[in-house]
Order: sequence, then structure tokens, then C-alpha cells
Amino acid sequence: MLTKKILPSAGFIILVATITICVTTVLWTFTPLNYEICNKKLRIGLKLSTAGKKKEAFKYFVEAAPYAPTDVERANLYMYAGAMVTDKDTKYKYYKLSLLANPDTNVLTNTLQTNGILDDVMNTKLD
Amino acid sequence: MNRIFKMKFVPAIIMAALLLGVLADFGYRALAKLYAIEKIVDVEVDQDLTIDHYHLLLRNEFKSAWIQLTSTEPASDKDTDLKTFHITVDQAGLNTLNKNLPESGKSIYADGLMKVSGEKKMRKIKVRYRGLIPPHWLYKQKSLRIKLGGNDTYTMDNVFNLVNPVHDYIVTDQLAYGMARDLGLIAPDFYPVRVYLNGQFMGVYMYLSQVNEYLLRKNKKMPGSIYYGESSTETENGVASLWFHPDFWDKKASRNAEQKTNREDINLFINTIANDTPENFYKFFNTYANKDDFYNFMGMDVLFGSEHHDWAHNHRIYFDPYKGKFSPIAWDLRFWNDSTNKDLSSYLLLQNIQLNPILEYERDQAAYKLYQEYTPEKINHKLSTLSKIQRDELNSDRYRDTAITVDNLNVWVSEPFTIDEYDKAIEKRKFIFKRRHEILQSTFNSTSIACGAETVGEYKKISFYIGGFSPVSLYSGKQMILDYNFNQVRDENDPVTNHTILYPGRKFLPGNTVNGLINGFGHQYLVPTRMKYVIFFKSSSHKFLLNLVARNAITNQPVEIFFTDNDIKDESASIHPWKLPRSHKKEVIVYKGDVAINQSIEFLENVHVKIEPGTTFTMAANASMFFYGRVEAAGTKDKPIKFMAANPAKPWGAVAIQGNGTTGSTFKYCEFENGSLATMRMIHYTAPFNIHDMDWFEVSNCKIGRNFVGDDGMHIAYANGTIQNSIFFNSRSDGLDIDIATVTLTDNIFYNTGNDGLDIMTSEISASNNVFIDIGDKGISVGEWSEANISDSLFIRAVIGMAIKDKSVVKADNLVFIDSQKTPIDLFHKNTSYDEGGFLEAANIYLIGNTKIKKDDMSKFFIKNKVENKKPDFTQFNWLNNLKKQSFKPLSDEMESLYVN
Repeated sequence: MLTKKILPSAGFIILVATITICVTTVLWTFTPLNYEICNKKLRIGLKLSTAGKKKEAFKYFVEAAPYAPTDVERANLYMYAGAMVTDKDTKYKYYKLSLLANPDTNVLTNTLQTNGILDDVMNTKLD
Repeated sequence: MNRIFKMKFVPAIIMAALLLGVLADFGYRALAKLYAIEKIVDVEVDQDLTIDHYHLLLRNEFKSAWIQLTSTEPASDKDTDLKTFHITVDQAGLNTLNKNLPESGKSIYADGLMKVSGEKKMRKIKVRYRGLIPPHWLYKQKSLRIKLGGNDTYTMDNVFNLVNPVHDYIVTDQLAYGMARDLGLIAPDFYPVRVYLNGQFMGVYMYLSQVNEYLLRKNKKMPGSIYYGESSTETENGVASLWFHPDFWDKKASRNAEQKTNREDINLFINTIANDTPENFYKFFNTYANKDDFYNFMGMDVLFGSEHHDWAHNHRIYFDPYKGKFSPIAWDLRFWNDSTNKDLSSYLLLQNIQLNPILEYERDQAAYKLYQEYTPEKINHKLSTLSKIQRDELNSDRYRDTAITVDNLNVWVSEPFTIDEYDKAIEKRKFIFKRRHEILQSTFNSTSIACGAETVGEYKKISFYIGGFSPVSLYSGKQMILDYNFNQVRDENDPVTNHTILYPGRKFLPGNTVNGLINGFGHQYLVPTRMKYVIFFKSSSHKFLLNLVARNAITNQPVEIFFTDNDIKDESASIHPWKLPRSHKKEVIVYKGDVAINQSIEFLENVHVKIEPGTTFTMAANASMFFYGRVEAAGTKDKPIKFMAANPAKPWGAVAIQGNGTTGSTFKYCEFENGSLATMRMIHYTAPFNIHDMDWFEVSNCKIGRNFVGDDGMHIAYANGTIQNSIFFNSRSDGLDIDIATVTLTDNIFYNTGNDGLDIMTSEISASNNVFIDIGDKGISVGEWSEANISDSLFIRAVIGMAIKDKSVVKADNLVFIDSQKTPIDLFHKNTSYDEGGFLEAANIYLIGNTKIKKDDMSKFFIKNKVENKKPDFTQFNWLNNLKKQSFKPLSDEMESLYVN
């Protein structure tokens, strides 16, 4: 008798399901898009970098890179990440990732060439 | 609760269907926008548009619905600080505009009506859409171009734009235009307004003046050529060809109707930039460019890190016909960046300057001044103030949106924004500017100096290598001998100094600073590189090197000098500054006695010309004298200086005092007769005696007599000065024509001029004790937004004694008008560029003979003590004595016998 009382009607279930679908859809549309995630992390990274907190900034640039909407932007993020660290291997690794993401980048290629480390960077092994 | 829990099937299904229907409607609208985008740009929805795009568009639909639900009612017109434009266009007109967007919206105008808050009148207008990217015309809130009917103007614009702001940070544009104006650049009006279309509130727009002759007049500039650089083809390397061919520059305004098709100015401008040698470009830029304007314009791009002025578009150039100089018009400075590159904007003119170390130094000095003046605190304050002005009105704007580009979709789409997002967008710009400011600090501080030494005989030969962005100011207790001819030996022609500036060079790298399309952003960019200088010091040891002092020439910070044994390779693409023409030494030229001027002659800025009393210049036909340095013409009453025609039947050309180097020039007891006109450096001199573009002159006791071919006896433009005790007579047209100048005129006589005695345009004049006799048109014509104080003057037998027109204001006292042929005073509106007639506030006006003052509906006058047909006591006026003492005896006798006694 009690069990029968608390069972919802089919109509109720359909309505709840529909409302759930609607709310979920709306909530989904307000989840950040990839480029928005990327921009947010980039912004934080730049802020930290300006404040001299390069280690933390590095983390944000690396996290932002997979969300970058274009290869050029991904390459820039890896380049920023590389510029944030002092450890040679890590630095070279991210420079190489940058060059791989955008082989046409002149800014980085020229900088590396000027500093005579372009070949070292290209020979760096990626994990 | 229980009832809902046990809801019946049918009503539940109906409610569910309704909910899903609403959801589907949102989904459909988002999809429709996707396909609308596909229709207007070259993308395939199925291939190029992804779920991410749909995600974004669906979210925009929800946001848009939320904004519509939560937006407030717009305030009434009287309760807002913004001007409100009520526009009415009938549906048929709108249908025509919307028929086939974007072409239909921009190719034709629809008729309409417009009423602006605070005004009573309803204006006839023509409307079309405007703007390049889809958010300007694709959605409900569209950017409009308004053309006013007939002679109508609104705030001195006959054509203007109501721009749907396509960015939530549009106040950065407003800030930039205001700043440009403060820096003296020509800049359109740009401010937020509200727009109603057919009674429906369309939200907050930006009012934007059209760049045309009206804008020049509004900025108190002489009408001249305006060119738009907006589109072109492509060069071989993929860069837009705009800066390589003058033909791509669209002429939108000209000095006058005859000049409409004349492209001499733009041909010289572009051809020199594109094809001439660096040396000639240097001369050209020093002569023909308004350097302050260009440096401020470029400096703003540096300050904000804007890349928007590029090889392909967004350029407006003005040529001033009386200064003979080109200036940029502030246009489209937007998209602030905190990039580490000094220059993000890139185009051929800028590149030529970058490759000239001296011009680049001057440009950087201007940019550094802006950097110092516009601190992040100042910009923050400005942004806060400007954003607050429109924030309340944005609350009721249901269509507020910002244009964004997403992923690989090469098209701008519209994204609604909340007020919270608006606030964040402004804060973001403040952050970007702060970072940019920090970056510029290190950019301007960036410089280096290294040197290597060797002994050559009794001299030490020191090679200096300058790197970084900024030049080095080098001071030495010992004399420095600069190897200007690069022969590596000390010789007599090498200049000797204790202080010099050594500049770094620039070299090309492939690509561009913004990783953008080659067409717009270029295929190479410039970065600093070292430049080498050889300097000799007479010394037996190298110890003096330790006493050399080096400072950053921009920031004045000390720079450490490094010593090197290596000869560093100079890779610079810049011209070496020591190869550029050096400034000429100051010299004085004195003229006396009889001087024959057989052909036109130019005196450069470094030449100070002194003309002694009694000098007579006998000028050959069409021969002219052009002075760019100071002139001291010191005639006396007994020994005047004369500019006469060698053959009176063949008029000479003109005397032109041109440019800031002539500041301080004086002309005493000079006589000009039988001159005509001349052209030099693309400036047309319309009178025998011309003073242009300088800060101070004095003309006294001069006689400006008959002229030929040209217009006026004397022409003044963009100058400040005084004219006293002079006579202007028998001129073909106006006796004295003053444009955009500030002049004090006392004790002068204007007699028998073909047109006006004194013609004033956009000037500030103080005139007292002047006499105007037998004038062919107006004794004084005060026009085109002038201000004048006129007192104690006499007007006899002028067609019109005094005309005041076109937004001009005159304060007058003690004026006597005798026998004016048409009217003694006429106030009216004539030139459609100005939105008012004349205004006169006067006291003690004596009208004898013709006493009828005329005015039209747009003009006003207030006269205290108007006396009709009763002569005042003439002995109270200085001009009576002046008439008597002038050597123009027959005239003064006639005046005295007829009117004074």
C-alpha cells in the first residue's frame, strides 16, 4: 500500500526527464569551450609571469596548450612554457613542441638560431 | 505536491512537448545562424563548422534570451546623458536594404526621417548599412550610415555613421580618438548614443563622423586632399600593394572642385615611399610630412600595441594645401596587445622610418613621451570614466554583443554579453595596457654599446657597435673626430665634437610580428641589430675610454660601455646615419641696394635673410622668392623696401614666408606691387605676399598694392602676428585674406579692393582703428567659424560693410558705416559645412546712408546704441589721424572733405 503511494506517475517521469534534458542542455552550453579554457589559462600564465612566478606560469602555459584552437596559438603557448623554465632539457622539449606545432614560426626559429641552439632543440627527444 | 507526483500522462506529455519545443526553437535558431554564416562566407557547414561552433551559437541564443528577459526599460530621452537618434524608415525601404545582404544594404540608400533628442526639427535623411564584418549588418542591430538631406548638417557633419559597437571594449576606440585629438591629430567624433528605429529601441551605438571635408573644417584645417587606403591587389611576395601604387588610394576630398581629379600629392607621397632612395625619402619626409602628427599617430600604435594599421588597409592621409604637408588622420586604432614586439603595425611608410636611424629615433622619442604621459593609472581612469558613461544604457540594450572569431572559422560572429562580462572586458583592457606599459619600459631601455680600439699614428681609432632599440648619447672630455666618410682615416672633413648620438640599426627577419596573413601584416619584419661607428681620439693611451659617458638617448639612463677585441659584423639594413644629408649651417644673407631677381629663388630654413632699408627687388616675370628661414625686412619711411616688376606689363610671382623656420619675421615699410601668384612644394600661393605656417610675424607700415592673375593682395594661413599702419589697395580680389590664423590688425587702410577688404576664415582676429573704403564686396567678411573683436573702425562705400557668417562670432564697438551699397551689416548662413549663421554683439554702431541691417533665420545680433544717420564725433577715432598721416594723400583728402568735416 505504502509502496504504491510513493511511485510517481509515468507523466511525472516524462516531465522530469524532459526538464532534466533541458537543464542539462542549457548547462552544457555554458561549459567553457576549448578556446575559452585556453584563453583563461593563458591569461593567468601571463599574469604570473609578469609577477615573476615563472614556475607557476609554466604550469598554466602547458595546461593551456592542448586547448589552443590553432597550431599557431599552441606553438606560442609551448614557446612561453619553454621560456619560463631554466632546466635545459625541459626548455628544449617545449621549444621543440612549439616548432613541431608550427614549423613556420619565424620568431622562435630565429631566436634559437641566433643563440646557436636550434639544432640542439631539434635533436631533443620527446618523452 | 502529490498532484504533480501523480501527474497524468497527457498533461505531462503536453508540458514536456512544450519544453522540448522551446528547446528545439533555440536549437533551430542557433542552426539558422550557422547556415546564415555559411551563406555569407566561404565555408561549408558540414565540413568547417564543428560541434564547438554549434555549442557556442546555442549558448549565444540562451544568453540572448536571458539578456532580453533581464534588460531594463530604456530611460526616456531626458533622463539619459546620451543623445538619442530616432530614425524612421518605411518597411519597403528596409526590405530593399535587406534584400540581398551585404550588397543590398550598402549599395543603395533608403529615405528616412531623423529626430535627435534635444532638437525640435525633423530631418530628412538617407540611410544605408555600413561595416565590413557580418555583426555590422547580419543581425537585427545594424550599423548605419546617415546622409543628411540638402544643406543640412548635424554637429557639422553632413554624413555620419551610427555604428553598432562590435566589441564590448569599444571604449578603447573612444579613448584612442580622444587621445589623438588631444595630440593635435585630425580625428573623427566618436561617442556613444542611443538609437531608435521605427520606434523600437535598438540599443547603444557609437556616433562616428565620416572622414571628409566636413571633418577637416570641424578640426579647423584647410580643405585639402583626403585619401583612403583601404584596398588593393597583391605584390609578388603576397603583400598588399596599397603602399606601392598611388592608384589604390581613393580621393575623398580636395582643396576645391578643380583639384578633385588632381593626384599630384598622393603620387609624390606613395612613389617616394615606394621607389625612392633612403636619402631622398629622408629629404621628402623632412619636407613634406607633418612629423609630429605621424610620430604621434605611430606612437599611439606603439603605446597600445595595435597591429591594425597594416599593409592592406585602415589608412587615411590628408594633404594640407597651405602647410604643404601630409598628415595621418586618426582612424581605427584598436585591438590592444601586450605583445613583446615594439611595433605590431607594419606598412611601408613605417618601415622606411624604421630603416632610417634618425627618423626612428625621433619617432621613438615621441612614443616615449606618450609612454611617460599615458601611465596605466591614467588609462585606467579614462577607461573607467568612458565605460561608465554607457554602462547604464547598455543595461537596456537587448542587442548588446561583441564580435568574436572562433577556431578555424575565418569569420566574425556575434556573441551577446552580460553587464558582468562587459565590466570584465574593460578590466582586461586595463590589464593588457599595464603589461604593455611594462614591456615598453624594457623596450626603450634596451640599448648596448661595445667598442674596440686600435692605434693609428697619433690617434686612437675606436670602433663603436650600438645595439638594442634605443640610440646612445656619447659624451667625451676629449674631442671626438667622427669618420663621416668611412675611409677609416682621420681627415680634415671629419666633424669634431664632444657629444654625439650613435644609433643602432635594424635588420629584416622573415615573417611578421603577429603571425598573421602576409597580405596585411607583411612577409618580413624589423628587429634591432648592431651598427658600427668609427671615431678617432687624439691620445697616446687608451685611458680616456674610461672617461667616456654613454646614456640611453631615449630614457637618459646610463649605459655601460663594453670592450671587445672582435670586429662585430654589421648586418644592418638601415641606412647609416652618417650617410644622410647633414643639417645646413646657419647663415645670414644681407640684401641692399638694387637687386635683380631674374628667376625664382629659395632660401632654406638655415638662412636668415636681412633686407636693408632702400633695397629694391626688381623681379622678372613670374619670378618668386620663397623664404623658409627668418626674414628681417627693415625698411624706413624714407627708404622703403620695394618688390617691383622689372617690366610692369609682366607681373612677378610671389613672396612666400613659409614654415616654422620663418617665425619672428618682420616686414617694415615694404611695398609690393605688380605681383601675382606662385606654386612651390605643391603649395599654391594666391597672393604676391604670403605668410604661411609659422608662429609669429610683424608687418608694419607696408603697402600691398595692385596684383595680377591671383586673388588677394596678401594671404595669411596658419600664422600668428600683427599688421599695423599698412595699406591694402587695388587688389584683384581680397585685400587681405586670413585663413586659420590669429592676427591683430590696427591702423590699416583697405582701399578699392576687387572683392573683400579683409576676408577671414576660421581665424581669431582683433581689429581696431581700421578704415575700409570703396570695397568691391564686403569691408570685412568674418566667415567659417571665426571669432573677431572689431572696434573703432570706419566703412565707407563698401557694397556690404561687414558680413558675419557660418558660425562666426563678432564683438564690435564704435563702428561707423557710411553709404553702404547693399547693407552695412549682413549676418547669414552660406557654407553648408557650418551649422549656424553669424552672431554679432555690438555697441555704438553708427549707420549713415544705408541703415538696414540684414540677417537670416540662422543668425542673431544684439546692438546696444544703434545710431542712424547721425555722424559721431570723428575726432574721437585714431583712424582720422591715421588717414591724415598716411602718404595716401588723395584718398585721405577725399575722405576728409566728403565725410569728416
